[in-house]
This record gives sequence, C-alpha cells and structure tokens, in this order.
Amino acid sequence: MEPRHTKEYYENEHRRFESNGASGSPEWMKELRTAAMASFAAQGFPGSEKEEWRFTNIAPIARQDFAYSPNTDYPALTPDAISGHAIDANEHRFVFVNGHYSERLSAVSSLPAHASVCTLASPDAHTNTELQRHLARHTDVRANAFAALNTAFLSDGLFIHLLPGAVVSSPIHIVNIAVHLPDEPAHVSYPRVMIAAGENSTATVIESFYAGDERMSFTDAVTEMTLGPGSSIDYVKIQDENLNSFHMHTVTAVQQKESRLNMFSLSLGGAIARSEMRVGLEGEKSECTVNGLYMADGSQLTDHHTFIHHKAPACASHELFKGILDGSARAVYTGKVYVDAIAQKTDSKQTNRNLMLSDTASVDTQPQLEIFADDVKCTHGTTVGGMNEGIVFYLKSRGIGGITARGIVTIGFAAEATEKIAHVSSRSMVDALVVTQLRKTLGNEVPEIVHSGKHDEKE
Amino acid sequence: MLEIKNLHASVNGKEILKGINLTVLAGEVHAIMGPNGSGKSTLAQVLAGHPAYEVTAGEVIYDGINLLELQPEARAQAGIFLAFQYPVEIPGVSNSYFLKTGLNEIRKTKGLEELDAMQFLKLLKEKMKIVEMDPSFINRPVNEGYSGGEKKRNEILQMAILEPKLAILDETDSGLDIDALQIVAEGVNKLKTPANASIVVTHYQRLLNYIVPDVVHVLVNGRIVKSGGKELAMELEEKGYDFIKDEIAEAQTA
Ligand SMILES: Nc1ncnc2c1ncn2[C@@H]1O[C@H](COP(=O)(O)OP(=O)(O)OP(=O)(O)O)[C@@H](O)[C@H]1O
Ligand SMILES: [Mg+2]
Repeated sequence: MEPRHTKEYYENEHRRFESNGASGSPEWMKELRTAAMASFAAQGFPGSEKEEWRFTNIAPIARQDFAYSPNTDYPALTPDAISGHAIDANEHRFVFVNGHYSERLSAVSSLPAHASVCTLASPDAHTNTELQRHLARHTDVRANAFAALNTAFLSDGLFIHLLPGAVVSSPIHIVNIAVHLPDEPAHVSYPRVMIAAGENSTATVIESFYAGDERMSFTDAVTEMTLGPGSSIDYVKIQDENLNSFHMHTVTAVQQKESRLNMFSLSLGGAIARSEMRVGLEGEKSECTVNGLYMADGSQLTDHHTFIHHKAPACASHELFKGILDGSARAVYTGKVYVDAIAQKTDSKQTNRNLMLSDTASVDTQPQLEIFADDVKCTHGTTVGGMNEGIVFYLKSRGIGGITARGIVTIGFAAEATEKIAHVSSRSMVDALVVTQLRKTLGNEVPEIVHSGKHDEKE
Repeated sequence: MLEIKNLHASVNGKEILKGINLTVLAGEVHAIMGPNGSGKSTLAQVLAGHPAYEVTAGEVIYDGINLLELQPEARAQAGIFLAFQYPVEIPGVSNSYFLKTGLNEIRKTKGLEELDAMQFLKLLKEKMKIVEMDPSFINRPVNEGYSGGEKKRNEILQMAILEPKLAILDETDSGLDIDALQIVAEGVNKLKTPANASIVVTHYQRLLNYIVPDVVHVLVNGRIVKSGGKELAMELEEKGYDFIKDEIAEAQTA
C-alpha cells in the first residue's frame, strides 16, 4: 500500500503550484489540471494489486517527496554541453530542463510552411483551438495515475502543430534533462508533448530523456499525438537517464484513416523506467509499428506496456520489442492487442525477445490478444533465452570466443531491433548509445553496429 | 597431419558417424562425396568442435595433439578452418570487424602482433580482390542478406584471410556460378603448400576439375565405404552411387 501522506503531499504541491507559477495558464488549461488532480487524488499511485502494475512496484516513487521546480538556470547546462545530445545536424532542438522550456539551450530554425511549434506556456498555445480540442483528451487520466499527476501540473511542454500537407523534413528533437543544484532536493518534472498532425502531413519527432547529474529524480511524462488522414509520423524515444532515475512516460496516439505511425522506444534503464505506449487505430487502413529495445543491468527495472486498439477495418500493427538483461536487472513487457468486432482484416504481429546475459536477471513477458472480429491475421510470440548458439559456434570456429563473442552476439541481437528505426540519424544515435552501454559491461571490443541498408564503404 | 580413427558421433542420441577412419597427410587434398544425409557435414562439424555432436568413440589426432580435447576456438587458433555449408548471419556486425577480430585472435595465439585497422583493411581489400567480392561487403553485416553464392564467397574470403593449415570445405561449391567455382578452387589451390591440407566435401565432380584431389572418399551411412584416386569421382558422376551399391549395401546393413 502506498504511504498515506503521498496523495496529500502532491495535493499540497499542486495547491502551491496553482498559487505560484501557473497563474499564466488560460482557464481551459486550469480546468484540465483541476480535473486531473481530482482524478489523481481519487486513485493515488497504483499498487501491485492492479493487474497492470503486478510486476512493477512503484513504492520507491511514492515513498519520496519529489520537489517541483520551475528553475531552468543551471550553470552546468550550456548550449555546447546540450549539443552532445544532438541527433541530426539540421534538427529543431527544443530543450526542457526539469520539464520547463529553455530558450537559451534550444536551437530552432524556421519551420516549413504549415508547420508550427510552440511551448504550452506561450500565448500562441493558450489561444490555439486545435490544441484545446486535443490536449489531454486522448489520455485517460482516470485509469492512469501518472498521466493524471502530469496533467495536474500541466503548464509547460511542446505543441507541434502540422496543418494539412505540412512536410517537416528535419526532425523535431525534444531534449529533456533532469538536473539539480547541489542544495536542491530531488526533482519531479512533468514533460508534456502534444502533436497534432493534419491530413497528409509528415514529421519525425524525437523525444530524449537524460539526467544532468547522478542524483535521484522523477520524470513523469505524457506525450499525445493525433494523426490525421494520410499523415505520417516517425516517433523515436530515447530514455538514457541515470541509475537513480524514476521514469514514467505515457505515450498515446490516435490514428485516422490511412495514417502511418512508426514508433521506437529505447530504454536504457533506471531505478524504474516505464513506458506505456497506447495506439488507437480509429480510421481504416491505418498502420502502426511499435518497436523497442530495452537494456538493463545491476538492479534496474525497465517496463514497457503497450496497448494497441484496432477500432477500424484493414489496419495493421506490428510490434517488436527486444530486451538485453544482465546482472540482477528486471524487465517487464506487457503487450496487448485488442481487436474490435468491426476491425475485420486486421493484420497484427507482436513479438518480444529477451536475451538474458546472467542467471540472476529476470523478465516478465506477457503478450495478450483479445479478438472480437473473425477475419483477422494476428500472431504473437515471445522468447527468453541465452545467446544464439549458431552464431556462438560460427564465431568460435573463427577463433573468437569468450567475452568478445558475447559482445558480437549481443550486438547482433540489438541490431535486429534498431534496424527498425526508419529515421537514419536517430538510428545511428540509438546504435551508438547501445554500444556505449554494452561496452560498460562487455569491454571496449564491442563493435559498432552496422546495418544492411548501409552499404557505403567506411575507411 | 590429421588422423581420424574409428570415429563415432551422435546427435540427440542418434548415431550418425559409425566408425570413420581417415588419414590426411600434409600437402594433400581429400575429397569426400556421398549421398544426402550420409554424415559429411556431421564429420566436418565434429572436426570443428560443434557442441551438439557427441563423440562416443574413437580419436582424432591433429598435428600430434588430441583434437577432440580442444575448444572450437582453440581448434581455429591451431589452424583448422571450416567453410560452413550454411554460413551463419550475424546482423549488426560488419564483415570487416568479424574478420579482423578472428584474424587477430589467431595471430595472438601464434605470438604475432595484431594488425591495426589500416593494416587489416589493406589485407582485406587484397583478399577481396582475389575472391572478386565488391568492397561494399567490407561494411555489410556478416552474411545478412547475402545471396547464397555471396555467402559461399565470403567463406572463401575468410579462409583466404585466416590462412588455415587444415581447411574443411563443406559444399562450398553448391550454389555457385562457374566463375565463383573457379574462385573457390583458386582459393584452395593458393592455400596448397606442402605444409597445408584440405578436405573438400562436394556432390559434384565439376569442382574436382579445378581442385585436383589426391584421394576421393565415399561416405555412406556414417562410414567411408570406398576410397580412391580422382577417377573415383568421375566414375561416381557417370554412374551414380549405384556403381558402388555392394559397398553401400554392406554399410547399410552393418
Ligand atoms: N542436430 C541434429 N538433429 C537431428 N538429426 C541431425 C542433426 N544433425 C544432423 N542430423 C542428421 O544426421 C544425418 C547426417 O546429416 P549431415 O548433415 O551430416 O549429412 P550430409 O552428408 O552433410 O548431407 P548433405 O549432402 O545433404 O549435406 C542426417 O540424417 C541428419 O538429419
Ligand atoms: Mg552436408
């Protein structure tokens, strides 16, 4: 059970927040907050008696009094330091420090016609009817305490508005950094992103989460997107915080007809790192791929929870999540595909594969299918195992054994997930982070990742 | 160089090799032919040390040492090379990294200095020219998405780089076009020195026009039922396995 005072703590924080910094918000945003706070107060943090939280005990988050801070001024954070997180030379980079936009650290060039981006704290956002129509309308806060808490503190964040036909070729990269001054208490931040993609619009959106120090912090993020007819969104999430980070992120996407969503989630662990990814396929012939790679060692916990709801005929959903677990790390994967009676000709495939590098690591994997239509093609599969024996023997037959072989096999395993990232520079970044992570445990011999599409000769 | 005595091996409790006797001297090329499922690949894999195969009797002496006691990587380091009938794909890992790592592991055990990236790239490009592989394969993941023939060429490339003492080629000629066949043959012939030896598993006499074997063996049902000179391969090609049906019948019933 959660400690009695947790709810009260956040209720107090919320009152303080309303009376201080949040005064600039428009009335409609305040109303969202009030309703969300009531919803959070009604449910509190979820306990492990809830099916969705059976394997992820969030008591360590509830136990801690995390402080909300509007400060974005940290001497350690300089535009130069931030540029180390850059993924694409031409990216539009929006940097949020503890959940608040920092213009100083951001690097934004002009966007193409019919596309606009503004922070949720800006007057442009406050008067935008499209934002008002969508913000917090697609995430069910009554069933999601963390999304409720995020919404209760909603004031800043990013609104990506693609009018019909907008084509944004350079990626929009949202960099989130949790950071502290030495005398500051552990922070909570509430990153928030809303993407409204109009008919036939196209964009790549990357959200990355980093820690600016080794301190404990709690990131409670919500991302919502609506994809208009024929629109196409590539979405990449990178979570690379520290060993003391608590990370809860809810991503909700709603797709209209013939839209295409390609999502990838890289989770490099944390004390607890959970990503909940929900897709509603509401218009016919819409397609989504929801892929990911999680890696954890030590005593980290990484959790992916996906829910794909086929609500219209002839939609496709493809899901591949791979996990690499070492030490005493734990991973949770729960993937649910729900097919309504009307959603005939659904094509759905769900795969979860786990590579266990130690005997003490563990994984709870649960692919679930609920089908109410009769003419569908739905498959799911899950594996938990050691290294690919065929590759191991091939390597040995070339004189390569021991930890070097381990590195190669593990890279091979990871590459099959990262190759699903369509946006090339995001894929390179994810690959590089994976290699860096593996080198910590398997040594510097771990090779760089190459992909079959990339045939250029590299000297 | 290699002496196989009364070798018995099983997989999943099923006996596949039922008493193989084979002696390969330095400088020789031996060909092994035989019907599908007779145990040719099993023999090759047992020599390379595949853990799925259990040796239940017999011994293998390689260069005066008990080969069966060595781990597979130690066998490779000792100069044994197996060109796989079904080369394995390694996604994400570049061919050049794979080859360089293997070569340097082998050089280390020989007490030779490891090659750095530049030196290795030079060697790799040289060898790729010999096997007529496009330089794009340098940075492609190992065998992933290669055509059947490209995979086989890649095996020969590995052989050319690792320069084994004993090369075992398991149907490297299957699925190759005529040009590639000559390249494979050249690869083997280049390796041919008085100090080295090769065992070539094949279904086709064609390859043996280019790689002239000193001895041809026919493996049936886990046993070598007949050995002879290169004419034996020609006879097999002409008449099929029928022509040694008495020997086969004897092996089947034994
Ligand atoms: N892992 C295994 N499990 C079960 N049976 C096996 C296994 N490996 C080999 N065998 C069996 O052993 C027998 C010999 O197989 P092997 O691959 O050695 O034949 P081969 O002579 O190389 O045939 P081919 O000419 O078709 O390549 C076959 O009947 C095969 O099915
Ligand atoms: Mg075979």
